[in-house]
Amino acid sequence: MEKEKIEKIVNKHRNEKSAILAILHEVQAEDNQLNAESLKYIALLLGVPYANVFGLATFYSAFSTEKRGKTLVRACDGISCHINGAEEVIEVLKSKLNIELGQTTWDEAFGLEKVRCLGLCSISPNVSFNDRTYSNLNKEKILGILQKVMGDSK
Amino acid sequence: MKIKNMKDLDKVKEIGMKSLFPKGPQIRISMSTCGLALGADDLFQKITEEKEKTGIRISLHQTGCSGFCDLEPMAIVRLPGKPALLYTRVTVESVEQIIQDIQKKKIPQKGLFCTIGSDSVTAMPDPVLNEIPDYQDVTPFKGQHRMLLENCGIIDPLSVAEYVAMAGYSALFKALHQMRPEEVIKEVVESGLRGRGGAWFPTGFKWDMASKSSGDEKFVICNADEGDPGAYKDRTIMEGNPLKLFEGIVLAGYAIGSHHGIIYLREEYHHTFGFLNTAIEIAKRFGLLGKNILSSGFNFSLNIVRGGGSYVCGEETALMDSLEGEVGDPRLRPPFPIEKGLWARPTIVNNVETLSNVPLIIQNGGKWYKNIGTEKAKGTKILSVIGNVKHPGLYEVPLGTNLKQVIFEMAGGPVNGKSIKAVQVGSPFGTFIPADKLDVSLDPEALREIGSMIGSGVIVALDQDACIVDILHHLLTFFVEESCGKCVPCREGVSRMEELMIEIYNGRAGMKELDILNELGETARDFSLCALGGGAPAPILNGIKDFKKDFEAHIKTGKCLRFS
Repeated sequence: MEKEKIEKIVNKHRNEKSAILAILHEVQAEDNQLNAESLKYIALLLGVPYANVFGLATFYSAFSTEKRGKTLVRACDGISCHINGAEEVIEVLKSKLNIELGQTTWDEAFGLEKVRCLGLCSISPNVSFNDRTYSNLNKEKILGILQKVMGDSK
Repeated sequence: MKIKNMKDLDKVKEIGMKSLFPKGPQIRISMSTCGLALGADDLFQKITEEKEKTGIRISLHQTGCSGFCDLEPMAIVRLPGKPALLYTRVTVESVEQIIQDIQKKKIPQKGLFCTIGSDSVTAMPDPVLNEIPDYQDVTPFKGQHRMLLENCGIIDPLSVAEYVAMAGYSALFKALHQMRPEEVIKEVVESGLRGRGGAWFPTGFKWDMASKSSGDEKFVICNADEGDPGAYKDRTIMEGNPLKLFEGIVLAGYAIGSHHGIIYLREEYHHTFGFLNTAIEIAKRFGLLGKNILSSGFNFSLNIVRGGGSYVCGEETALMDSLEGEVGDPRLRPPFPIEKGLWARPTIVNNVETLSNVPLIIQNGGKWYKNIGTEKAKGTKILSVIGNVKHPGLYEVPLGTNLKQVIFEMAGGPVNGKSIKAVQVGSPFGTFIPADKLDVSLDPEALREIGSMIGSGVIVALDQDACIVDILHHLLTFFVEESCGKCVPCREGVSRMEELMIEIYNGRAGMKELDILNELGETARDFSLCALGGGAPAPILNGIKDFKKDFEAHIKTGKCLRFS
């Protein structure tokens, strides 16, 4: 990511305490990743060791040091989704996107992740595509949604 | 406008009353994360279009979630002179009919669920309305004691006026203008309120100690890292009535002498993040956050920090590490946060639900609050009842309510004529209570007696087709993924437990491995640093004891009862 963009984000939070998580969130939102180059520059601007910033980017599951898909598909595998058939939904996602959990499609259009509860437990299973969540899913429904979303992304 | 005195508050209240009980027709759409997931935004847009097309004058508002997402999208329709009507599972296709009916002053029929407060005076008695039950008499609302969720799904969560009309901010006004900080603490102590995040520590006691700690700065942290899978009560409060939470946070700040609050919000709540930020800006505009709150001279700033998707950061010391820009590792205690918390300053960490109780306590008094609940556990608890029941959702009930009643009467019992096999109370760390032992009071003390816990209130009902080994296998993968790795009993112990469980699940282990699993569980339980490793073994140890049949099926035949 361009240095100026990172500077802008860091400066925006400069006077806040606990700013680093917010900075990482915003840089990732722009660049779809937190690569070593960005992390090193953030560390330099904040005056903290690179190891710390790298530690954060790898400890927290919300961050990715590798390029993520343009559309991030997050399949919920909380207890309620599990009971109501999340496995089946996740299998469809894996086979249709042709990737495993934690991977990105070859054209970087989709990333697939498992999350532990999206907080919509009485309408499970749930899957979110970026900020749009789909609920009450089953095999057929997720197939339909995928078809539509994959068509739109082309 | 900034609210400065009682007169201003009354003025705002009047505006709120007009907005809640308008002279003309009104529609409210529930637009929380769940409503949006089921198409509330399309619904809102369709109504806006129809309004423009027909030129009809209808005021259109948004509300939050009532806790029953499976009934979404919900809408409230109010016709002049009639009580508010609640509609469930409203579709875009039905909008035209609804608008036509409203134009003809007729009650729309499709999706009509109940009235809200039919005791309010109705100018024209309507034969149709006599058939419709009020929401207090209809499942899933029947039997609830909604104090925290009272406004959720009813008022516009971003309207200060509507919240004030529902007695909002009367507590903060009273506290800042008429009470000393120690009097606020006294009421909270008297109320008997205890922490709703799962630890059940006396809130007033925590505040009292923090108020006596010295430091150049103090912090109020609202723990909104609602990480227990199955829990969404904090999200519902934050999206349904965020101002009540803010009021509670400011009251906490005033009580302990803090001027800065932080809401630590879990990463997965994307919609909530933007929503809460908007709510903070609105509260500031009305002088309810920031400098000179309600013209009392008290300053308090509030900001939101998003977590990074780590479950262990819901543990208060790991949460503070995370806020300090570190990886979230639980700290050894002492020192306790009330002495040396965030940046080594005195800090209180309270859950969203706990803090939302405070305005009610200050407004009505600790004595009033004490009358709700059991001898030792006061107030209500929001239960998240999920799994194999007819009406999964949030049930706010007085502490001490019977579990059997919640599962079978309130939540409608099992689906498709099946029977309940077990109920896990306090998931993920709670134990599985077998079907014949469900006659138990839902409060921390009674549950502890039977070796269980209430935790943050997640109740998972499992029917006859469920397999305990399958559920435990699922829970163990979760615990291993979320272990921070700092202490050995949790990092190694719980991982080995998961490995054994996979072997058992796939029928590759013998009964001997069950003993090893048991032993590992006891070690992790007794020697882990925080409640994650210490709590994880409980459901496993209990599962081995009470549901041996499920284990035997896996071990002897390699088959999961779930698929048989």
